[in-house]
Parts: sequence; structure tokens; C-alpha cells
Amino acid sequence: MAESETGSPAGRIRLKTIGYRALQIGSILALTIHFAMTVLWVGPFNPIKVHLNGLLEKTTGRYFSQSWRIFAPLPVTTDDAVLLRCLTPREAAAPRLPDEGWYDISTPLWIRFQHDRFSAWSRLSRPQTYAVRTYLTAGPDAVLWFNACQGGSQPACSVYQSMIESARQSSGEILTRIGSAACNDLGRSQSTARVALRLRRTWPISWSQRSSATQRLSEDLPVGVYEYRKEIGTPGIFRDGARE
Amino acid sequence: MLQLFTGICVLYRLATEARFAFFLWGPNGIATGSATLLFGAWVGSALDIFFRSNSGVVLFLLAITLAAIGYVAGFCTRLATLTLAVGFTVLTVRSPFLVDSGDSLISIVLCYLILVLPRKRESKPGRWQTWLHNVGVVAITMQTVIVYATAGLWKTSGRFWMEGTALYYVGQVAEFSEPSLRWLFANAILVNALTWGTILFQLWFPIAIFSRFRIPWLICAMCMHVGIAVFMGLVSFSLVMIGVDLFLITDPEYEVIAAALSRASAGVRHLSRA
Repeated sequence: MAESETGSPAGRIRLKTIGYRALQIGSILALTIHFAMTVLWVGPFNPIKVHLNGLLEKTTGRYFSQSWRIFAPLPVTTDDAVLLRCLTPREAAAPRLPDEGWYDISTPLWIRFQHDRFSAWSRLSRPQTYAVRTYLTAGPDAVLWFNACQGGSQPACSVYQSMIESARQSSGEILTRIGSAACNDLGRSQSTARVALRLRRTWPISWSQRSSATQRLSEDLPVGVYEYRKEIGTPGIFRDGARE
Repeated sequence: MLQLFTGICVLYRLATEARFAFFLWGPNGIATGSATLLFGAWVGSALDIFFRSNSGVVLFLLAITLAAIGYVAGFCTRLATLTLAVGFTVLTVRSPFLVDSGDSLISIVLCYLILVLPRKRESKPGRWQTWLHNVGVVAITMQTVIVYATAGLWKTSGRFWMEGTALYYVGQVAEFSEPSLRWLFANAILVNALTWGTILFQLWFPIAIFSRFRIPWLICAMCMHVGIAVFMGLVSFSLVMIGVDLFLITDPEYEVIAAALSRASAGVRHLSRA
């Protein structure tokens, strides 16, 4: 019986060569498409990005998610500290939130981090700050879609709407857990029925007033009242919460 | 070098965050993410099992620690890289509000490093392993270029960056500043030079690294990231960025740098004896 072409040494070599060429062409194509999509993902708002948004979300956004808007276009300029109030059943039922007894659960972590750069304190302060910011604005990427929506783009409006809904859902759950953990840490597990959160935004001193002004202005923004869950642990990181 | 720096970065995170592990990733902590988002229903659900109990979290972190040690030491490198890539990515998905840009870069770079040949493995031209190694190297280079170019381009559309005062404002934010050094960022010349210098540096990066300015540019990049670690406290981000910068230095360039350093140290010894 005659040996098949692929079974002979020459045939095997030819198969290997074809396989190698296929690998070369395939990988070059894959790299080109992958990085073109990455550039679209990290780049500014544009018509192609709007058109391909669904595909980008399912591919680059899911498996190679990244954002290189590091402190840009506008750098972080405000201190966004999260204030917390563990509400008793009576306070939770009242129409108005109490003015006193709020705890700042961010600033003590920042101060600890300033004393020890090689520690996790800064990272531990992120979930509450990022979750509150996301809850209020759906995150920095949503600003691009919001601006485009304001400019009259209907697809941008629907993307922005879905971003807001998804952000509210995910950050709301995290804020519930953070609030519960903080109340447990502050020794309020017995008396707490719900947890109220506020964001204290402290504005920077403007460049022109850097040598004259001494006091930074701040404002409190209401975030919401969340469910209290006793089963959430006591991490021990909020024990130093600064009482207002 | 990239292997060393990303591995150390993962170990640094594990060492500093391990005592809060139950709060950060445990079933009764703040984590709400699921690995099914990335790995599908079957594999993702299997990975999620680890996070249903505190002992599972300990086991998972132990596996990542061992993988990171193996990855840094060059022991079973491919398996260690794959385990670390999957494990670290699962942690980032599990607690997304904890993640910064450095963590995203580690996850991405680890994926590309799976293609790269282990340190002691010989690469022969014409072999598919060598081709895939080159694909991995090109991917890491392209990713690094995208990081710098995008960061630079976004800054050009920011008011404070164009006015040259962005670093003054960042210097006031408690999370990213060192209060004892704030006076430095009130100096107009220094703040303007650093702010505009950063934009120029990042915008020129994609061109500079393909020119004869590659080494000076990479040294500047590393100095910038040391500065970010010291002044802004972004230690893990800086570590991984220094890792990708060092990755762009070729073997012959390392030899030239080593020779120059050895000549310099010989000169210093000669001077001290004289």
C-alpha cells in the first residue's frame, strides 16, 4: 500500500510548515485585533466606540479591563471621606436623620497610611470611597457617556442609563456590607437597625490662593440609608472611626 | 525582571492584606464579585466555592502565595504563571472596588507571560514555542506603550494639567499625599516642571522607546515611578510599572549597563584607595 502524503517525512514537514505559517498569521491577526480593541476601550468617546460598545464590553472590558486615565483629564482634587451613622430602630423610623453621632470611617485610614507607606490602609479605604463615588456618579468612565448624552447622542444615553443602574446595584450592596462591618466594629451590633451614609467632600485650596488661604471648604452629600446585616464580620479597621 | 517585580508586587499585596482577608474576600466581608463573570458558569462556580467559607479563602490565598513564590524563583514557571494569572484575576473580580490600575496591569501582563519561555529554556528559531514567546514579548511591549500613550493623551485634555498645576492639587489629597512634603508642591517652578514634564514624557514614550533614547527614557520612567511610590504611596502600582519598564531593556543593553556599573565601581574603589 502506498504511504499517504501526510505520513511520509516530506508530508510531515509540509504539514508542520503549514501549521507554523497558520500560527504566525493567526497570532499576528489576533494581536492586531486585540490591540485595536484595547485602544478603542481605553480611548476617548467616539462613534466607533459607541457602535462597538457591546462587543468591547464582552471582550476587552471583561477579560482585559483597564483604564489609563490616571489622574486625567482631571486629577483627583477632593478628599471624599465616608461618614457613617448606625441607626437605632427609633432613629431609622424617624423622618429625618440625626445630626450628631456620625463617624468618619475614611480619614483615620488615610492618616494611618501616611504614617506607614508599606501597609494596606490606603487600599482598605478605597472600597467605601469608590463605592460611594460609583453610587453617586457611576464612576469616571460614565462621565464620557453622560457628556455625550447631554450632547444629544441617544445610544450614549442608553449606555449611561444602564451604567447608572448597574453601578447603583453593585455599589449599594457593597455599601450595605461596609456599613454593617463598621457598625459591628464600633460595637453597635446590638442597637443598630439600619446604617446611614454621607459623603464629606473637602475641596482643595485653589492654586492662586495657596499662600493666603488656610482652611479647605467641605460639604456633606447624603448617600442613603442601608440595611444592617449582623452576620457581616468585624474587620477591626473601623474601630478608630473619628466621631463627629 | 518583569517576573521578579510582578511576583514581588503580588507577594507584597498578600503580605499586607492577608490579615484582612476575610473582610476583603470572605463570605461575610465586602466582596460580592463572582469568577463566573470571567470563567463561565462551570469553572467560575468551581472557583467561587473557595469563597464560601473563611477556610476556603485561606486555602486560595495559600495557593496564590505558593504560585507567586514559584513564579519569582523560576520553579515550574509555566504552571506557576498560569495559577497566578487565574488566582490573582479571581481576587480582582471578587472585590472590584479594591483594585487599582496596577492590579489590572498585573492580570493582563500575567496572561501574556504564559506565552513567554521560562528563564532557562533555550529558544530556537523556527519553533512554535519561540514564535509564541515573541508574541508574548510584543504583546507586553504594546501594552506598555498603550499605558503611557493613553495616560499622556488623556492629560492633554485636562485643565489642571495644561495649566501646569495638576500635581499641586493631587498633593492636597489625603489618600495620595504625604503631608510633610506638601510645601514642595506649592513651588510654582517645581510643580509646573513636573506636571508638564510628565505629559511630555508620556506622550513621547511610544517614540522614544524605539529610538536611541530608549535607555534614558526608561530610566526616567523608573525614576517617575519611584517618585509615585514615595510621594503618592502607590507602591504596588509603581512596582509593576518599574517591572514593565525593565522588561523593555534588552539582554545586550543589560550587559552594557552591567559593564558600565562595574567600570564605575572599579573607578570608585580606585579613587578611595588613592
